[in-house]
Amino acid sequence: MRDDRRDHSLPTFISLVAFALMLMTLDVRSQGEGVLGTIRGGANQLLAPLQAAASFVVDPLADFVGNLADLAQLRSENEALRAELADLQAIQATYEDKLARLAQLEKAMALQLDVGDIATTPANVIGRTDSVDLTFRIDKGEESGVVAGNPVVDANGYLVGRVLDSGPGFAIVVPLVADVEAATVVVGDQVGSLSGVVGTDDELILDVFDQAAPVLAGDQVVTSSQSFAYPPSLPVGEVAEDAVPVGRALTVRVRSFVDVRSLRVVLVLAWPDPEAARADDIPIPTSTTVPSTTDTTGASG
Amino acid sequence: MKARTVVATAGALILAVIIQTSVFGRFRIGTVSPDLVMVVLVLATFRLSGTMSLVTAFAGGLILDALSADALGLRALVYSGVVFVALRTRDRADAGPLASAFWIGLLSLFGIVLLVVVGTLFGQVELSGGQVMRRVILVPLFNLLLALVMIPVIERMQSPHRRFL
Repeated sequence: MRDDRRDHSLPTFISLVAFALMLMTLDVRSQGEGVLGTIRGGANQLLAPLQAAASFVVDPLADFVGNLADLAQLRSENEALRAELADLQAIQATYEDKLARLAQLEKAMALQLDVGDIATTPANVIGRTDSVDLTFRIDKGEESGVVAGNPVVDANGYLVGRVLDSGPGFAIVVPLVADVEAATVVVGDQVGSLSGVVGTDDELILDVFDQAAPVLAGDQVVTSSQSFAYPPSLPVGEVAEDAVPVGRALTVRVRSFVDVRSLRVVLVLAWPDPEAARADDIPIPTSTTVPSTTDTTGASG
Repeated sequence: MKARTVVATAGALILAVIIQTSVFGRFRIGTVSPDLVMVVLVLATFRLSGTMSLVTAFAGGLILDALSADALGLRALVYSGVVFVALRTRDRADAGPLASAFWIGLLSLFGIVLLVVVGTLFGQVELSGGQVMRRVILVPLFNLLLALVMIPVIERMQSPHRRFL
């Protein structure tokens, strides 16, 4: 059935390559805005319902297969967790008294957590592009108040990343491990910059440049109150290994709490509140085109 | 070009995109999944004219680019390149399902390398890192296995005097 009588494949190929190069150049230079941004939004809007339907069918099957694969590992984890639970119950008794005391102190000092008042929008993960791309799409968009720059956390409250772009019925989320912008975080009492690691899906690099102190494996890393992109005190990950400063600077690997590949449900935080941000003169994040692979250095900040 | 062929090609392409972005998004082996769209586009070269194959490949790549955060045109260029090579070599690959699957594996290797190289030039992909090497090796292998499954199925869908391959 092939029509080989007139073969125009070479000129067609050359034209398409030239067109593709032009598109890429325009898209990179315009940072995803303008006509190309509209095209991207239109394609997402058209395919989002189909992807949602496919996810509805596939997710239970994928969970079943995943559970079978994890069965052996779950048994040993179960035994270890039972032992750990017994230890923790003993420790809990000693902490209850301290917690009661802490509650009294907090009330007295009128402490307020910044994260408490932020509205959240639950959303389903409905699509990923391919093995190279860590960004994913969710089923909530502009109609739900989801806009570019909104922080995204998982069901446990761990920071996933930020909304890169949104449209009617969809939004694209770029995880912290694949973001080009570094995040400002806190470990202990040190403020540092957290960025992705080339070639990994769940590791980040923490850099503390000024008056750094040693850190220990397991130290918690949370977002800083100095960050413009994320609200403070969101848990991000834990230090992967003991590290000491070299000179005044410290560089250490951080293991993310979130497995981006297995996310099914996320929460989008309505932060910063546009009205409050304007009143406080806080810059409202805008959409940017980012290298979106696991092999891209960077994280958001 | 018959309208039925155009509709069937567009339908197959959209279906492949949906399956790749949703089904293969959940089923991964070692964080890597096959590139179904690439396999479908290469197999389509056996049925379509050169120009139609290239335009279809470009459109398929453009759709995937729109669904990703990568620069618009990256996968369109890569798929066009893969299909162009496929058009130039398809006659030699038409020697049974095994040879065709192996040929698709080689084209996939060319495609993923092209994706990494062009992506790096445009700041979308980094060349270094273990994940890149893993994908360069595993994606062609998965595509080869996928083609081994798909080719006999597609052959049976064709009537005896209009076999796919």
